[in-house]
Parts: sequence; C-alpha cells; structure tokens
Amino acid sequence: MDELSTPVLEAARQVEQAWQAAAERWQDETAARFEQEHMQPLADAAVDYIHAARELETILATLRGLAGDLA
Amino acid sequence: MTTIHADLEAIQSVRAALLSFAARVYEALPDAEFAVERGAATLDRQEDAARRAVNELTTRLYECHAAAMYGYPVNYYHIQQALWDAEQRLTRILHLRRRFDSAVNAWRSRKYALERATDDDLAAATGYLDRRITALESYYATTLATTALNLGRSGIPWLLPATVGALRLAIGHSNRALGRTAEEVAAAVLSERFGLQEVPFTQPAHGFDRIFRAPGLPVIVVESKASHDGKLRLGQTLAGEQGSPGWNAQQADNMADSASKQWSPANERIGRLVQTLGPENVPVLAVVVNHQAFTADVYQRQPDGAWQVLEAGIDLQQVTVETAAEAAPAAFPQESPAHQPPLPSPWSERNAELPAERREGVPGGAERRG
Repeated sequence: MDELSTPVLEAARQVEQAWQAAAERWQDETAARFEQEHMQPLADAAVDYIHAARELETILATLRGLAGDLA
Repeated sequence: MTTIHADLEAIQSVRAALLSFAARVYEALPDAEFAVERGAATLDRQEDAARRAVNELTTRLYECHAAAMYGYPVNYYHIQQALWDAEQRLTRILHLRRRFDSAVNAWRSRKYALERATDDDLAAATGYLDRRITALESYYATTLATTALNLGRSGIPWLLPATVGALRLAIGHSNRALGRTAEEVAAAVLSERFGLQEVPFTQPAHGFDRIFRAPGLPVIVVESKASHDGKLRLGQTLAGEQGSPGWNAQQADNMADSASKQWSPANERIGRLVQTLGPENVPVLAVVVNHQAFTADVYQRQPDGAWQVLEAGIDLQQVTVETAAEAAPAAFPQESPAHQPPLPSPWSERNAELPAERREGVPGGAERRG
C-alpha cells in the first residue's frame, strides 16, 4: 500500500519533468532565482513528505500483517 | 516556433504542472489522512484484542492457581504458554503503536509543511511565472508587431501583410498579448494615417496606452482596444471612464507622483503637462482594432463624453501598403520629420491650421476662455 506517497510522488515527478524541459530553454538569472526561491522549497517539502509517508506506509504494512496473523 | 514562443510554452507548462501538483496534493492528502486514521483504528482494535486476551488468560491462570491451591489436579501449562504468546503479541503491538505514533507525528508535520508550501510557495511561484509569462507575452507581441511594422516600412512587398499577421499570431494568446499588438497597430495607424508623432514614455501596467503629439498639441492621450466586433468598449474605473477628464487627472497625478508605480522622469513630465493643460482639455483618441476584420476605427472624445468617429474601417493592410509606398527604404519616417510626406490627417484639418490660441487642448485655447 502506497496511497500516502504515490500521488504526491507522481505529481512531483510531473513538475520536475516540466521544470527540466523549461530549464533547458530558460537559463537566465530569473530562472536561477525562480529555482532557488520557489522550486527548491516546494521540492524539499514534497521530498520530506514522501520520505515520511514511506516510513508510515512500512508501519501500516506491518500492522496489516499483524492483523492478518490475528485474523 | 520562435525562441520567445518556445520559452513561453515551457514556462506555461511549468505553471500548469505546478497547478496540477497543487490539485493532486489537495486531493491526495485527505485520502492519506483517512488511510492513517484507518490504520490507527486497526491498531486500536488490535491493541484492545491483545489486552483482552492477556486479561482473560491472566484470569484463567489465577483460577488455575486457586484450584491448584485447593488441591485440584490442574495442568495450566497451555494457559501459561497462551498468556506468554498474548503478552508477546501485545508487546509487539505496543511497540508498533510507538513507531506508528512517531511516524504519524512526523508524517503530519511534513504534511502541514507540504500544505504550507503548496499554499504559499506555490502561489508565489505561479505569481512569479505569471509575471514572467506576461513579460514574455508583452515582449513577444511588441516585437512581433514592431518587426512587422518596421518590415512594412522598409518596403519589402511580400512582408506587407505582416501587420495583419502580427494580429493573427496574437489571437489566441493572452488578452494582454493581443492588447499590446493592437497598441502597436493603433500607434502605426495614428502616426501613418493621421500624422501624429508618438511621445516616448515609460508605459505603466495601468494608465495611458500611448501618448502622441501634433503641431500645437503637446499631449494627445491614446487608448487602444482590440475587439472581435469592432465595438469601442472602455474600462470604467472609480475615477471615471477611460479617457474621461477624471481618469486623465488620476493618471496624470500618478505619473507625477514619485511614490507611484506609474512614476518615471518621462512620465512625470507628461503628467505635469496634463495637469498644466487641464485634464479636461487634453485631447483623447481611441483606436479600436478589429482583429477579425483587420480594420481600425479612430474615435475622439467630445467634451460631452461622446465618442465621435474620426475615421472608420481603416484597412490595416492598406496602412502598411501606403507606408511602404511612402517611406524611403529602411528609413523610419518619424525619425526624420522633415522627410515626412504631407499625410491627410483629420487631426491636422481640425487643429493644425488654426492659430494656436484657438486650438482645442492648448492653454489659453478656446475652451479655456469659456
């Protein structure tokens, strides 16, 4: 079960792809500023969330296994 | 595809991806919260069941001990074993509970951070991109139209429809891009068809579209509008309709106010001039560029607020053809006024032949004498 991390991961990948495509053409100072001030904080927040969600998913999987043992 | 066009598309795709990201995050987080609550409920049930099992087996074990004390032959080994298993299970569940609670706290903290980032950073990011997109579109529209008009002026016959082409290209882009292209076209119409000379100024985001002058008229305010049906539609503001004396006064005040976004040295000079002339005396023209028919209509605002048509149905292709025929190769007529051909100008017919003191919009002119 990865319902916690997958939707955010897929959405983040979509932004990353669009940004990579744009960054190939948009390489001036404003682009660097945009990446530093806007894209990076958003990417950091998304990556931190995905890591925390995966940790929780591991525990939920263990819990389901435990529930299955008891069932 | 031009570089600017490609840049625009790339940046617009980033903007779209960011908005899609926000939509997916907003959709996913409540589902994730529900999954976590479901997990917590499962854990609660498992812990309750494990505790009940431990309690029941403990009770049974005490009963067995009591029976043994009274001398009954009781084999309670299997109960001891079951209790040991139940306690182990409860320990595992409690251990899992601690990990779960810790992970949920960490996840919630990251979730709130992601929500904050999605709300704040993403809004700032799309705002930043919007400004970039607007700047590129404006540059694109201006460059396109200016290039087209300059090519027309240079007398290259097969590029004469470029003005119309610029309009066609701008259609489908933002209203701002279309508006900027229409502004360029309107400026060409007024300079080529009416013999007016454009006054450079720092064009603000909100304010006068263009400023022109003519002999004896130091300031002529021009509003340009792109329209699909050729109708003149002016914005209504708190200061009055665009082009009205109240609106002119407000723009002039802003242009002359160093604390305003509309201020620049050039704008202050124009603002002071409008204030000196009196906003009600400054001539105002409106040019409506019909981007379906590729024609332009020129209006002049009357003292009673009505808009009088100066010329309607100006064929934009014809404007460039006339320009090309009149201009010397690679020379821009407005840069050397001495070489400008005498263009038929309703404006000059109305004013230029009159003595300065009788021209409308001139300090001390007829309308000022009351």
